Amino acid sequence: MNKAPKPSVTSFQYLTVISGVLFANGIMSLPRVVASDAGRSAWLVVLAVGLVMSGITLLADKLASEFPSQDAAEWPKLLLGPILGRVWMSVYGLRAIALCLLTAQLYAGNLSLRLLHETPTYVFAIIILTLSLMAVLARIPGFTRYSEAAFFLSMPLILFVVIPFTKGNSVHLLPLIGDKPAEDLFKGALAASYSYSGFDFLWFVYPYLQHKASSKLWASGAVLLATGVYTFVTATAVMFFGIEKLNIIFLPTLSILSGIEVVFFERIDSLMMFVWLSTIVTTAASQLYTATRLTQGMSSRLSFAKTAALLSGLLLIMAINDIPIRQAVAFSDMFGVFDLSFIISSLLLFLFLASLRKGKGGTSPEK
Amino acid sequence: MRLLLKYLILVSLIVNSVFLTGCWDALPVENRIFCIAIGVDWLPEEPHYEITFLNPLVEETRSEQSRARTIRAHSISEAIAIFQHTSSHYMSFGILSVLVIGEEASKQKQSFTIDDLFSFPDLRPNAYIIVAKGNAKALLSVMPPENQRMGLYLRDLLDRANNQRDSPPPTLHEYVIRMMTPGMDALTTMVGPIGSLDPRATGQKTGGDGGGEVDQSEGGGSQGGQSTPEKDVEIMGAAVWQGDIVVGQLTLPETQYLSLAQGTAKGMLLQMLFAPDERLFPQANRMVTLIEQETASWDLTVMEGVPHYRLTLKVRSSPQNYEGTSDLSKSENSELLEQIMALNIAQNILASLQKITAMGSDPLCLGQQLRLKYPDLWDPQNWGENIKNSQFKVECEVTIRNIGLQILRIEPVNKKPN
Amino acid sequence: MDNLWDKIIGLFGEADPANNNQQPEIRMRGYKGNLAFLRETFGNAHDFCVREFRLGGDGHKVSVVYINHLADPSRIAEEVIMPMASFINMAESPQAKSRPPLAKQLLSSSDLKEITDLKQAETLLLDGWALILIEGLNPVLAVVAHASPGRAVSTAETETTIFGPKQAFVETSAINLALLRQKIKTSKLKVEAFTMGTKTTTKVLLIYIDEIAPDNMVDEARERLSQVEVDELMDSSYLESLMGFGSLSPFPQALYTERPDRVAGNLLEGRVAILVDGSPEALVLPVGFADLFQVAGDYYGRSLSVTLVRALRVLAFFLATTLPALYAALVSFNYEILPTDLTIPVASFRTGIPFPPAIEVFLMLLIVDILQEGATRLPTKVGQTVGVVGGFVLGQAIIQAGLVSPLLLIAIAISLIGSFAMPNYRVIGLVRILRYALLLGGSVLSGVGIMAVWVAIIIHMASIEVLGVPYLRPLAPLRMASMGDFIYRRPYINKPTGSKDNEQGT
Repeated sequence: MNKAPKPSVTSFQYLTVISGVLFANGIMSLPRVVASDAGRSAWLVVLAVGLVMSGITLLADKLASEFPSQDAAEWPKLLLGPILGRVWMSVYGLRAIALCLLTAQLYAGNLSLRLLHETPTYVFAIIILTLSLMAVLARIPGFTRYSEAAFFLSMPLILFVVIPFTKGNSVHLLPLIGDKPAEDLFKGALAASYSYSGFDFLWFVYPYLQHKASSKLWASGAVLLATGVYTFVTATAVMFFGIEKLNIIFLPTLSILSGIEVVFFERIDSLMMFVWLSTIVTTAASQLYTATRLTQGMSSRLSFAKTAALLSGLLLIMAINDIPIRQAVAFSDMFGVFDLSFIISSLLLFLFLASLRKGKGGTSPEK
Repeated sequence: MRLLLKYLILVSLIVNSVFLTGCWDALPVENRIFCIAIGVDWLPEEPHYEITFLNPLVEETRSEQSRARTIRAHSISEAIAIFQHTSSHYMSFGILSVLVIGEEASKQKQSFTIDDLFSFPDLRPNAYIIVAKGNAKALLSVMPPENQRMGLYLRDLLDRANNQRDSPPPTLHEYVIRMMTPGMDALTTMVGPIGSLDPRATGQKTGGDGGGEVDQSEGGGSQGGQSTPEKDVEIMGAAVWQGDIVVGQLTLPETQYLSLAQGTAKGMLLQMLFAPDERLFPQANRMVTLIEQETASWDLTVMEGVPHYRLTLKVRSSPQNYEGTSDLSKSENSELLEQIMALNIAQNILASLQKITAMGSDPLCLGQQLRLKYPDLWDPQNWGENIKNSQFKVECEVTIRNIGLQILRIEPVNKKPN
Repeated sequence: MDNLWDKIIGLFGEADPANNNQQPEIRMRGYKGNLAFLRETFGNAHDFCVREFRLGGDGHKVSVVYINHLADPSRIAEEVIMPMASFINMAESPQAKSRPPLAKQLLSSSDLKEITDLKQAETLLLDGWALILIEGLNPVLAVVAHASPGRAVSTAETETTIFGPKQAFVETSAINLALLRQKIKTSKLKVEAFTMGTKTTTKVLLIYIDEIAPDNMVDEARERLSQVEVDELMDSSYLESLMGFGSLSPFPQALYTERPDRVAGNLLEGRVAILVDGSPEALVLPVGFADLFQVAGDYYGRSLSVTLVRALRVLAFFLATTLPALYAALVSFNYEILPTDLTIPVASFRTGIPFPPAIEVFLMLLIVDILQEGATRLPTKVGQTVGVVGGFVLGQAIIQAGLVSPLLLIAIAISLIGSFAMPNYRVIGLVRILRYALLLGGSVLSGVGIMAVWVAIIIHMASIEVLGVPYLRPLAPLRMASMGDFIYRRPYINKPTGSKDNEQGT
């Protein structure tokens, strides 16, 4: 990014893109994954993790505000130096590629498990990656508009969860605390971490934001919105199934929707799987964009479009290898812990370096 | 540059199209055979299970008929596999309405049957699960009145039972949750075939064509079905489960009283049978009352290791067909009736509670109350035995809102001419 | 003196149009040379007319050159020849002194220009002007003498409304501009003229209201128009592609309208309009997805009823595009989504149909589209017969032959009727394309395929910006202020005009 990007992203788009990136990750299996450790307190654990993540998002936004017209493909080089900065960007880029692939594979595996069993999972993965490439080529202004539209498409489906919520038995939620020891709750919290991967995409959206003054509010609002949804879905799953059954249901979010029958449609879980594609594309495209910008940040001579296409092609080839869904879910649990640790530690380090730089009177074009 | 990008996108779209020409999962509806009801019976000899699939006939657009096919196998999955070998169609469970467990089969562990069924992703989880009085095959072979499809007729019957709280049946989802959760057992509707509700029926059974037809499929022993199908079905009560096995049965009134104890009886028409009482019931001692509102609150104390449950019930009702001679508009008469009704309800609820706990079943989630209040005493593994020691006390208060006029009877009663 | 002369001439004529054709100038060659050039250029064209006479009867030679039927001979005779022929002041020299008297006193034409470039003279001749060549005078005078071969202002044919104005544009841009000026009586209405087409030299007018239309939007429009290089420009529809607005995209990125009231309304909302001489349709930019569902009559009805109708149009759009694909998807893949009581009848209807659902739908769509195309081109009476034969007889026969299921026919009929609810024919074309794309997705991968195609469509729409304005507005980016004219049309309130929704770049 040689010149300051044109501010074209509204605050609401900022919220929808951040929350959209979060929603796709793990909402399908989150209740089971957390409840297997945290028991009946699963929803409280999810809520607590969300509140912590909201605070971390504030810090991430603060870091972005230190470099208002540069994204995370530029300022690591300023803070860490050209070599170390590129090393960090490489690790960050690999992480983005892994997350993109994981997102595509998880959705593809879920589809194959629930709906379309004979279709090879790489077909779905290819579709997701192709659509992600299209979204990336639309650049941030177009991509954020798409994420806003996807937000409107997918959020109403979450409202269907109200129906099983009313049918659930609150006795399954009790006692609120005390059912499991603290270390199990902590394990549950770590298991929930994957569901919050991707909030750092705000580092690439921030330079395009129109109203940067209120960005913290919207960024943390996005995470809180995701937290609210996660908490509600987890509580509903626990209430509806009870802990004993919940631990054996692979995709509890879909299972609680499978029993809903409305006038024109009977399997809301199938509808959810279809519409969820839009959110999945938001997440996968955000990571593809991240990887593209980071690669482009390595050398200013790289073209954005060509780099995006190249990375997309690479991911397409990797996606042809089927990963069994259970392995993918297990990997995502581990990945979530690594991802969050990496992002949080980098965040703290960069904030520290940025404050040092500011203290030394470091110049940056935007200031 | 833009041309290159467009070329790349075009190439990827073409590549995708190559991958997407498989239509791997396409299976048009006409190539499927739908199962609207499944019956599971158990026989002493191998293979133990006799699975009945009820399939609607779709060849004729306006046909309301179904075909029942029976297969002997070791499990539902095996039965389906046997069926697939003999049919060009693919069995689909997306519109399954009812799962019927035969009386004998219900005494075997049903968890793996349910497990088998849930392995089909298109299974409709809102299908009801009931227990048949007698044979599931006989129940599904009934030709219902007005030539309706049996599975859907059963479903409509159970929908009404649900709405009227008349031994409401659980869905598969609800059943499985209760099956797996200690301290929370299932109560499933018990349905049996009957001759006819029409009192003018001569009793001669005519062989109908279409609806009650039974096919014998290869791989199973010959098991003769009824040569003349019954004409109708009715709800006879409830099957009481402990986990995944039925441990007893309740009559319909007993089931209704349990609904009262659960606090889910709003809207129910309760059939009450009173002891003879010259003040209020000199002649007929039956009455139907509409439960308009009720609250049931449970309290638990443990004394010397024994759980003592106390149920406090407040009921507001409207008697529908009081046939006594007392003038209920007078407060002393209506208050007396309220007291008698309260006593009657309390006694019947207590009897039902004692009956189910004696069987070791806990459909009222009493164990969950123990888990919450006394977690140290909670033993999920042995709750089936421990519940037998529980003590109960029922306090009931009835308020009559409206005397009402005589309503249409639910079942034919031969009234003596005046 | 030349500057003074130009100023005087300027009193009588409009500013020279921005000549972006970059044609090389051809200098004047004197009376005989100019006349010879013109004769040579137009050759033996039978409508190329030259009237020669002498000033005052025996003065300098004067030739009046014009193209018959483009210029009106009677008007030329009345406004040019007669005044000049009756000029008797032979003592005046035609040079320097005679030009002002000629301009001010003799010629009664309201439009008079002095031409110093023969190429421009040629252009003006083709535009209906008459040229006056005076012996001894190098510059050539041009007077307006249009014959008005166009049609009169009539009612709109393709955009009929029950209430509101009924006028429609005609092929003459000057008249169209006048119709607009009747609606917007402000000097802030700016008109910039362009000439396009090396062979057609078509006049193009860029119109906007200063202080309402954002400057950067106008600048971009102007720049795009300036960059158009083409041999011919026959209609305004050429300009959408020529200006670089998504020639490969199925989504209309400009609004075409023949109604002056609609153009005026859009101008007052801050848009720009383009009039093309010879085209009865004006081009309005920028336009978004939401604008495809609006018609002129929406602004003349009551708020709630208009809102309902717009909601129906949006619903019709989604039904028209998605219903056939949904049928193919549900019947082939996910039957369990259908209500239980519907599944058995669907299976019954499908029994005996020889084609797979996807092929069944595709064939029916093809037949319906062919019928529709056929009915459009034929004269009205014959077209109606085709509609009856195709719709009723063919549909009935195809069901009885057992080639398609009745349920599919219902789905196709709903889809077709939904497409007819679209406000204009270009949107119907869009619906047709989307229908096939969604059918492909739904046939191959059920609801996932349908959703994938919709996601691709939404991404494509999200990436479009027309004159810097996002195509998906006011939905994305969400603009609550603009939502008052999306589906819901807010009632009119007392508010001064001139306030605009500045959506540039957002």
